[in-house]
Amino acid sequence: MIELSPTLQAVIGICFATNVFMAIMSYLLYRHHRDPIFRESFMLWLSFAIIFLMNPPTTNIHIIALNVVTWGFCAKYLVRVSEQAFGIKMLRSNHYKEFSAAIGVGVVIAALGGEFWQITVVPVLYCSFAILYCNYAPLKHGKWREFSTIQKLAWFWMLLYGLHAVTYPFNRLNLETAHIDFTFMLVNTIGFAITVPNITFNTYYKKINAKLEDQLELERKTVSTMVVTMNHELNTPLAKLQSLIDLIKIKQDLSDIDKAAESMEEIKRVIGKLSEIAEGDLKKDSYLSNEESEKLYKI
Amino acid sequence: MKDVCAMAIDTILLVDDDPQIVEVYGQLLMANGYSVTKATSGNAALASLRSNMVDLVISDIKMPDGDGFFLLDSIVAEFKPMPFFFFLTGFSTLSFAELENRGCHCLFKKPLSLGELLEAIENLEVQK
Repeated sequence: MIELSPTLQAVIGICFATNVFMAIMSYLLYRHHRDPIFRESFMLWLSFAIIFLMNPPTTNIHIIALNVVTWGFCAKYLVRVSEQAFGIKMLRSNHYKEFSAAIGVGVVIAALGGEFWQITVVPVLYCSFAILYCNYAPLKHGKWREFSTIQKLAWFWMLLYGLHAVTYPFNRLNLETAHIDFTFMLVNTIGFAITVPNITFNTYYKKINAKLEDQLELERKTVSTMVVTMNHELNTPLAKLQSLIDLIKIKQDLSDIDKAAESMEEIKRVIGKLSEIAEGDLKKDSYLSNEESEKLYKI
Repeated sequence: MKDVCAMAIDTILLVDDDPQIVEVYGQLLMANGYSVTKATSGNAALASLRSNMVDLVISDIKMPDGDGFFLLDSIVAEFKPMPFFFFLTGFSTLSFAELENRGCHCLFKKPLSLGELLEAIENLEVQK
């Protein structure tokens, strides 16, 4: 068992508590908003917290197994957060097959007589490549200069976390070098506590705004359909009336006067319908769908 | 004006899904010396054009069974030289410039007076 100074123990305790706190907050946000963005954030913080369970270093097979699987989740949700941060699609969401294969290779290495902790090497390295890809992909798609400050920060911490993942099996499970890993964990916890909530909320509000814009667009379209429909409804009898008057003038014959009167009645009826709408007799949502709009068209 | 047929306007095809409109405008145009054929849908108008070619088509836009845009596109594709094409409408989702590009020569908003329509037809004849 490694001997840790009380200060280091306190720092580790604070980091662990931060991870748990962020996980709880994300979960509460998820429960309140029911948005997958918060669920992903919750899963990420939960993964960080579980990876902390490896402290102090242990050879307990259950904890090692839990850590290996947790790294898979951690990598997946870091990719998700990175996708949100840079607005680009990165890896396929389903990388479980490759990850399972990596676990298999790790188990084989351990079984072939390697040290027990080596079981973690291959799967965690696999995860580290996924995380490092999060640094490569945005650079490939976008220009560094176009990144916002928070995107730059997120990029930097993603890189740091990738390096952490690469060195994790060697540092964390080796008693002499465990302090390097603790330093990584400390710095990363601070970095992600700053960037991840910012990214999550930005993405959430962007989504909400897009929804609102869609709603406004729908309302605008509804009003527009309404105006066009009413315009048509009024113009058709007006056109009839006008042409009938022209005809009566030309023929000097009043035989079409009844038809003209019918058109007048039609105009009055449409205007009456418009008054009903203005007075609120016809509820707004009753002409939201196309079908209802068609009904209005036929009034 | 586009390079279209150079004959005097004599026969007019009127297309509107409202039979009363077709009837009344038909009577008005006939009273002014034009011979008029009538149709109440885009498809019926096409069928009528295939048997009797006309000099001018005046069509509504919003119609069931082949709307005005369908009719205009079909005429441009099928008939050369094509007749002049007028649109008679309460509204149009396309601007006149877009309609002109597709082969339409004039766009009227309902309600229009007989005077406006006759004037536009005469203008076409003067230009030829």
